[in-house]
Amino acid sequence: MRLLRTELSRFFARRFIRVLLIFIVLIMGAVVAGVAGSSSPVTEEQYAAAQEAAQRDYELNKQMMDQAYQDCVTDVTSPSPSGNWGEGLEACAAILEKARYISPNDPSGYLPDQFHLRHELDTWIYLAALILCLFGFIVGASFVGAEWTSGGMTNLALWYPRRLRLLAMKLTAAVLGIGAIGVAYLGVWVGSLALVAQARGVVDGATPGFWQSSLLLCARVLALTLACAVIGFALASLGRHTASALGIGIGYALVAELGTLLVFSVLNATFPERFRLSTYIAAWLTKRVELYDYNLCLMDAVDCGNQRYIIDLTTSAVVLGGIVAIIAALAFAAFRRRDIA
Amino acid sequence: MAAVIEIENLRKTYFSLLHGKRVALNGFDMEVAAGQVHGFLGPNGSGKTTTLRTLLGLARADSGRMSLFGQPVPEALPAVVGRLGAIVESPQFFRNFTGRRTLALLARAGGVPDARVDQVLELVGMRDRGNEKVKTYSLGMKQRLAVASALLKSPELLILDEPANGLDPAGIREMRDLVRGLAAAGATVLVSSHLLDEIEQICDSVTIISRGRRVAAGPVADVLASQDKGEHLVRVRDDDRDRAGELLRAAGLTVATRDDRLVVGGVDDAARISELLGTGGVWLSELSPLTPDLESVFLTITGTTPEAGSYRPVDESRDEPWPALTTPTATTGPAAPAAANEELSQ
Repeated sequence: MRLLRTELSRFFARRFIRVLLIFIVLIMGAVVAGVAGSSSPVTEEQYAAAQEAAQRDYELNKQMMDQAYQDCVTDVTSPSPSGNWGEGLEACAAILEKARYISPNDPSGYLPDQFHLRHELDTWIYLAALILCLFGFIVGASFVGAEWTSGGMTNLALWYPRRLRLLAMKLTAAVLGIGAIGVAYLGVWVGSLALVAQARGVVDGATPGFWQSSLLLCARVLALTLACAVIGFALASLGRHTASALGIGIGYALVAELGTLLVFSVLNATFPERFRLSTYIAAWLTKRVELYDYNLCLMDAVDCGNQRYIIDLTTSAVVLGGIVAIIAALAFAAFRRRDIA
Repeated sequence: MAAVIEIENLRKTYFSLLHGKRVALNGFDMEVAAGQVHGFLGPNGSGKTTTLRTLLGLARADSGRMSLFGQPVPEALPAVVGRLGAIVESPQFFRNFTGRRTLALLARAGGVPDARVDQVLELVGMRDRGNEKVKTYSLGMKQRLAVASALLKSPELLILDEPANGLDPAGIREMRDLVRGLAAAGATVLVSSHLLDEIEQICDSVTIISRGRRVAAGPVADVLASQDKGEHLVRVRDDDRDRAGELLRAAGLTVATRDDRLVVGGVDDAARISELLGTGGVWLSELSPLTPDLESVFLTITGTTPEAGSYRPVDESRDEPWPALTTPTATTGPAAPAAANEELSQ
């Protein structure tokens, strides 16, 4: 536990982590300010004006349709119909039929833009997930990578010869540190957006069920952040350099994510997206991803709805957890066997 | 005296995709007795640091046996690590941490009281600079910080790899005093260094490694004595030099000229030289025994004596054990191969 406490002190004392933390807090500030700036509170006058405008447009549309019907009847009953309306009075009846569906407009479409918490919070939490995952990956990689490049790992190994325990404590410190930052970040992120919605947007529909669902989404974001942190940590430990993890991460994004899609498309594999990690990440966040094979639909002229590949929460958890476990196991095995330089 | 460090037939090979196989340790042996200051010498690339890294569990040996405090390592390292302090290859620290924080983090994790941090900073002369960031330190100050980290645990065994690296003359003297002080307090110190005059001054015994094998080991005095050929430096008036040479050669002694002096060999007692010259009417200005220093002994034993106009490849050194100096208990006089003795006299 002494080692863990020390590693936690080292984690929060590192300047790189502090700078990165300031950076992501600034991003959060910019996002919240942007949402607040683009959302305006609605006055009673604005709402009344919106209702009036909606009613006006409704009546205008209705008048236009009535006029069109009259023009149609006049034309088709004339001695020399133009043919623009179709054949006979049946064509004009179709206009009447369409006119039946004209309904008064929703005044919300006439109001200034407003941040709607229930409808939009998930989207903003996905953005927080992207930021936190990158943060976790880079910080996880740097926390061990800097030890390798600075020679600090030699120092540590001289003090703690139980190598697996040493790396495990270091990883635990990174996970706890990043986890604590992740919890605080998500809390402030969601709390700020809720306040913005309260002050300048719409909070209708923010039921206890909605908050429970949002909380679970935040928990999944946190788990994903920690998974990214473990992967970054493990890759940097395997490569003995922070840059090796970043290189593999960028290389994977450029080559594997696009490459697998291209290769499996060329090979005519069905549902090529199922070979991409990003698909499972999306499924983890949204609880379910459905992949459609549009080629199959076109060729067989069948219902696309039946030709789909479903990735649910369990599947994505197994795949993502398996990848994290394999990379971490490789890092620990290498650390146990290899010379520490 | 019980051995604190024992290494037997240690082998270590490095493999590289680019450079293939390289044997770093080829059956290396070493023994360091308790309470001694032991010098560990060898040319660049001879395997010194690999030995220390392997002993301390940083590298895995291919085969061989090692023990610290009588316990086999690396298996027993967790049990003995609290009794040893080490610096290997000029350790680096986080540049943005202060020296004090660097030591405090190590101390806390190792269960060492915080007060010890100030003590070791004082010991290495860094008390007033402890609150400055490591990135502001000079090479010598970083080295002092490294030594301080090795001293944190008040170790019974201190292993120092090039501790004087980057130190100024005052720092080197302080390091010498520190090592002596630790030894006087009962600690065992293993020092790897290329500063041979320092090693000669502070060490009780030495091990010399060359191309991964032990080529000599024993008390410093014995290692020096192994190359002592009973030579003396003789200075007489310039006008008498030729006459003195003739007199000494006539008595069966070997005589060579070095600058304005004569190097006289083959005589056990200096009084014999004085007697021969006095009898021949030549008066001595200076007469002193020509004892080899550790540098010349090292160069001879490792076969790395520089030759004018040629450059020795870094991996090229002699790896044949010096017969009389391959056990730490060797105490006898000269027994080196004739060829090597000739090498020394060149």
